[in-house]
Amino acid sequence: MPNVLAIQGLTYKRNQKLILKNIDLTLETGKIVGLLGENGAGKTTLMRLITGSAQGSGDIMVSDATTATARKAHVSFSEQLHGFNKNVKISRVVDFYQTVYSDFDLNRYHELADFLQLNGELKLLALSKGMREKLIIALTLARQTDLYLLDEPFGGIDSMSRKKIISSIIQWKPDNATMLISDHYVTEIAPILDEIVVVKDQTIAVHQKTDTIRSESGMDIEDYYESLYAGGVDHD
Amino acid sequence: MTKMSALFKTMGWTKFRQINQMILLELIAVAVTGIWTAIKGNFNLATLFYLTASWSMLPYVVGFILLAVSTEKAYTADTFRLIPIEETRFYLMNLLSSLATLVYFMVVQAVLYGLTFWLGWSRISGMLPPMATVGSNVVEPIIVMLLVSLMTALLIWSTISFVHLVTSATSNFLPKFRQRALNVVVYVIVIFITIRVAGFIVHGVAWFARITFNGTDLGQFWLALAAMAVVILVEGALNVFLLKRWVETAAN
Repeated sequence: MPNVLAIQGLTYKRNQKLILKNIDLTLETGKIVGLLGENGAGKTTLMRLITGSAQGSGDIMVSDATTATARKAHVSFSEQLHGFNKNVKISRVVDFYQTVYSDFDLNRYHELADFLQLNGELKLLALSKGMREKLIIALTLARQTDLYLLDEPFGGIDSMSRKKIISSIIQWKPDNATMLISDHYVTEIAPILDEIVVVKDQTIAVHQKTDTIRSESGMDIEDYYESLYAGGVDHD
Repeated sequence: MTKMSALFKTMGWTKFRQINQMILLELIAVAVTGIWTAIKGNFNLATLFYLTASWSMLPYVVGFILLAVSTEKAYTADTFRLIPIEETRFYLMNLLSSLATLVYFMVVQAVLYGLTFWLGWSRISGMLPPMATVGSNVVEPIIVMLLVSLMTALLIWSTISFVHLVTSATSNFLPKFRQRALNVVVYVIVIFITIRVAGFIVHGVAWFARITFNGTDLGQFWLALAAMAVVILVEGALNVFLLKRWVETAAN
């Protein structure tokens, strides 16, 4: 299978502190990959480096695009909508996405909005944290791109809705697209993951297929992930 | 890739909305003070013109600042920076959408001035100097004045962007410890250097104008405009370089 993402020798420092060092990572087309790690491990930073929102040293290629500008056309990132005035209606945010992203599929957005019970007439300031996250998921998945980066997308969403969204995420992902999801609800997302990538000690500590982990270690994904921090698994 | 026109449209919309709010507040202020003047028995046909003239500066200043804030916000917000468009185009559309909104504000003000002037013409005309003393060639000075005000706006915005982007880029390299204090130091240094360099360019051109036009011609203003354009272009090139290489968006 061709690779949708290829990272080589990526290092990132900020405020004289090393956040990520010598990251090498390749992701195949069509996969759902869990990006796991403790708080502050660098998961969000890795996603920001892929989108070009943060500037590191090293090579990042998304679907043959190497420059940050070109990569942006191939990546849909769950950004937090901080650029909008809080008085803006959801429908206006959707108009914005439709105007600036040529790959934004309005019909798909409406399907997602119906599924997630989003009301376009509501203003951003009227949204609860969970509703805001649902809007971000809908906007991110309504684009038809090669790589989706979902950064802790389920925070603030009630457990019922969370399970419903997770179980339906496969239906929203285009067949040839790859989805990288960082999340703390490892048990809940594990069933849909093809692979996991664990960021630990400023680098990629593990990149494995979930089936391989289950068959070789005999553990479920959450136990395996927790064992990495207990030092119980040799993950070389 | 996103088209420049699409970016201009989306960036302009927010700014257009902000300026319309300012215009609305101005109209409310004129109406309220007009009613108050009428209650006091001092209302005449020229009152609305005087009130428009006295209130128009405030929304202009506030609107100008709001446009500057919107312009700067776009450089560090993922909402805008994730849009797949080359940085030079992004920078241009951000600045031009602010300028277009300012032009719109000026046109609305001109209409308001014209309308209230027309309403109060019978009273105002008596206070005006005879047309002969105004001079025949008023078109060029008006054009130059308009261009100077627009170029000044561009110069101020691009200078603000330069200071903002330099401090944003350098703050990535400063240690977290006492970062705020260090940022203030960086701000002061960058503002000082920017003002000195811009001043040097403008003075250089002024000197050139003096020796070329002998200090009497409108040509001096044209050269001042050229000097401003040079500073705007230099700052623009540096701003685009900073956006490409160093400036990161605010993390979620």
